[in-house]
Amino acid sequence: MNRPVAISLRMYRALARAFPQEFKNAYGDELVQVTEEAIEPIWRRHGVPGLVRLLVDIAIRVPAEYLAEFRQDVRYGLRTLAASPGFTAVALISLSLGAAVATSAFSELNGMVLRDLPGVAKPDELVMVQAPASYPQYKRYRELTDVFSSTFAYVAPVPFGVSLAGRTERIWGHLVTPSYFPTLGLRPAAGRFFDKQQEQPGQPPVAVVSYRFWQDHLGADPSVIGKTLRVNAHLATIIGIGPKDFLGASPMFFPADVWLPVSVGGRVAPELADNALERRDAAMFQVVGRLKPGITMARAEAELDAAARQVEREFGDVNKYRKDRRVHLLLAGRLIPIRKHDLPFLTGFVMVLAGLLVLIACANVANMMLARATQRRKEIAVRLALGASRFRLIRQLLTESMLLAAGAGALGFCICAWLMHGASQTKMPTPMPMGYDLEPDLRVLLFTLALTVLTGLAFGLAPALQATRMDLTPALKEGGNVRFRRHRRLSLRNLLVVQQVAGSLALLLLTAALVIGVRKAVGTEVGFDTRRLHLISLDPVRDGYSPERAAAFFPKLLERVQGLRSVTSACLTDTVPVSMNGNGWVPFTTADAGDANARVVHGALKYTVGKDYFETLGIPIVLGRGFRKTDEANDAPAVIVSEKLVREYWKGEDPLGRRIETGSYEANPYAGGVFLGSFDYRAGSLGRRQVFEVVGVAKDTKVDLMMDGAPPVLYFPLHPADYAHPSLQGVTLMVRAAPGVDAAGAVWREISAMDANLTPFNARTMPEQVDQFIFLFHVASYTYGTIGVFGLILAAAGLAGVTAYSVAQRGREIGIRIALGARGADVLRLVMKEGAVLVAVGTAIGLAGAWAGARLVSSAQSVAAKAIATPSSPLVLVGIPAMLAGLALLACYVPARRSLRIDPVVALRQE
Amino acid sequence: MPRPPSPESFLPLKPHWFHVLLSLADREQHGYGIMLEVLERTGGKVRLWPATLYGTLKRLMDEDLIEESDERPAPEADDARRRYYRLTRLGRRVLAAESTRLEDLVRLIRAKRGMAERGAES
Repeated sequence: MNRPVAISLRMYRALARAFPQEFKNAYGDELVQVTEEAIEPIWRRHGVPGLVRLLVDIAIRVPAEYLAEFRQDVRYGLRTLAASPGFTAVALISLSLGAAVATSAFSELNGMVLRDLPGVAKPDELVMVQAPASYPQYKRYRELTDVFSSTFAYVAPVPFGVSLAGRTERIWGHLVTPSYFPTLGLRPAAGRFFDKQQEQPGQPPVAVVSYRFWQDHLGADPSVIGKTLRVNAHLATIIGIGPKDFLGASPMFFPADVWLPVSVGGRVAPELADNALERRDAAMFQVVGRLKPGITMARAEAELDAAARQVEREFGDVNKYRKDRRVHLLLAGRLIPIRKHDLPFLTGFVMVLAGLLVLIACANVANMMLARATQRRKEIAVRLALGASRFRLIRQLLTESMLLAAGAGALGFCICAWLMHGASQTKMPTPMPMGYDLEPDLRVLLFTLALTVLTGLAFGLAPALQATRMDLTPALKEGGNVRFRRHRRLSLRNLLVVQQVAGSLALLLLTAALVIGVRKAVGTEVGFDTRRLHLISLDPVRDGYSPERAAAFFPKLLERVQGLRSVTSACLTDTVPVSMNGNGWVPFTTADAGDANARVVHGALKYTVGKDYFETLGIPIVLGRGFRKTDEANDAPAVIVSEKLVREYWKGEDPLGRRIETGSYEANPYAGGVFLGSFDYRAGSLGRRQVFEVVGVAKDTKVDLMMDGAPPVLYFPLHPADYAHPSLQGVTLMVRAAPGVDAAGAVWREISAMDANLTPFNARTMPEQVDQFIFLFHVASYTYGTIGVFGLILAAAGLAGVTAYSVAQRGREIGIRIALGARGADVLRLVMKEGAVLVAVGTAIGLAGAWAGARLVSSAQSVAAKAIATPSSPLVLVGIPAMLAGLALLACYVPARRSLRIDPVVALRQE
Repeated sequence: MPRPPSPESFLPLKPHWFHVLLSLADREQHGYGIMLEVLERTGGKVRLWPATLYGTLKRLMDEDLIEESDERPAPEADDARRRYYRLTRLGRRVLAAESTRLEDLVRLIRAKRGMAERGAES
């Protein structure tokens, strides 16, 4: 034999060994033998190409045989599943519920946390300074050119009064530095973006509008570039349209439809009034930078921090003794800027909850598979005896599991897509339009796919291994599944019962804690009468009023409204109670001479309210007096505190006449509200120091999302300056109507009678406002409630199934015991005792798991953490374990009871 | 017991299947024999490479078109390692059905060609 032939033959033999076992057993030898005979003639006739063809032939056939086997497995699996529709249906429901919840959780996470800003180039390079900075500070930051390739700053959210077709609408946008769009790496859909020139003040106003705005409000007019838009009663030239889908650098919380350069100044944008670009106390700029390649976030953070400290040193700020970090960086390329190290937690919490649910679903199905495998013992034994390899049988059983998992994955994905589509359509009743899109994308699909494979393995592998590990002889004999095994304590079946109890318990306890915590947090009891209370907001500066004109307008309006017959009382306020926007958190120190605690910084919620606020809302002044007209003069020192503040900081002392100082400590603009959007851009990091005197104490109102009841509150009087510089919600007129009359209509008419060009917005009633406020928390509690109910269904079904099956399996053993003379009661006691031990072990593990989970969740600063940190009621801690244990024992009892009725003769005859 | 499939359900037959069934039409054969016969019958045009051949044999066995024969040839011609295959009843019927189908096809082609030639003449 010559060399090429010998080498080919050797390769051929090696390839032939790679055939699937079954094929090899049947045809392997013959195949090699035929080839040995045929190879010489082939060599003589075709030469080397013939040998190559021979090898290619077998190289193709090997995978083809595997594929054929797989197809056979699938066909067989489908037939088996179709043959037991009950099992298939229950398994599919269980698994698709699990898959739907897990996929939805991931989808939500994906839509909120994981997704990048649309259209932005290299989003991973973008970082954002967590706390807003002042413009001078930003100027210092942007000098760090060895760290950042470029930077920008913007004010958000900014409401613009935009005149469209004769009426003014409140459109939200950003005030930006010209580097905003280039740093994000964006190209305009039409026109151009701002250029360096716009940095100089005094330029004629220009604006960039969003693609969405261009379509919805400008009729997608292609000739819109160069036309003017009336913004805050000033004409601005439209120079460009943003890219499709782009809604600004923070589209979730501050979506933007209009961008104006910061150079437009305070005349056009009231936010920039009073030289805001020069003042170091006007910390309202979000600073974003693009890291140079190879620069880490830690390095950038350190350099920014050093820069911030240097600014403090230069200006001798009070803060300079602070030791902690001034600057924290967030990932800015995401839909929501988040801290990098929060990502694992955010992902983790949802995944743990969803994972538990999937685990329970898997355990349910695994148990049923196990039960089926026992029924199929004979079939399996026969196939093993006929020479099928164990590996092949395991693969066959796994194919069945995978088919189930795939079906459930597809169903789950559909359910998730449907749920998420609905969720994305839901309008959040926030004062600012929050944009979000939770629709599942490719990433979600991949997740489902991975989940499918994992669950298929999770519930399929153990039963498959268990089912194929058998002693053939007893299995082949009729009914050979009675064995009084010695080591029953550690059998897979018992482990499954324990795991089922533990997993269900942990999940239910966690969700119950969350649901109850959120419910507690919501507390619809707001502490004042909300009936017939109407609210309407105005922001006349954005309608073109000068600050003086606005200051003159409001008292006149209030007077006219109070004169209406349909109105029993009315007030103006800057702070709206029970508001999604939250209120600022103001730090203060006591300013009384000789106070030992003078250096202690306290904090309180800041309310800025008109003098008739307490009367209109019906909040009693329990001590001292309310505000008077004289208190509303600029720089008047009166302040009213809440009872809680007195209890908290001045327990047992007389609060009246005490003096407090504000403005000397940095306010964390995020501390007051739950949401990023709740900060007040006017809260200067270092405001003017101001001393106030307490003139009254107001009764507590539970108006915020505080778990521990009413927070300490400082009420400041509404000054004329606030009319020109209102919060994002404008100045709000609150009106208590006389019963049975349309006061809202009358107020509206009154406003247009005074000036038809004004744009009142956000007209609503107080109950609507409250609903709006707790909407998110209802959503949260429904979500967790739904997960909890899903979990409960799964846990109940699974637990009953597992225990019932494990007892039913012993039916014949029970029959034999009875035949041998045991009394029914004794046997029942034996079964129940063993069941109780398993349930007890499972409960202990479940409680430990729930505790660990709660600890994990509490370690984060979030509403969920606050909710879960509220102590669970004993009802939950005892009730849920008791309910599960009762269910499990019932599931032991019923089949054991049925087994007792088996005629012992029948049981014995089967032996 | 599921009903046996009808011969028509296999049509049109894959060329390899047809060649193997045809080789077994008049006698039992072993794998190498089938290979040689097909090669000879087609004048060297169709070669059933070994792996393909055995893949086909397995498929035909699975579909119950052929079976292993328990009769052995005369001892002096017998190789103990070789298995002999023969048609089953179903296999014979499938072969017949496929042959009829092919004959019909050939008749159709001839008729068409005849028409075309007549058309060219007139």
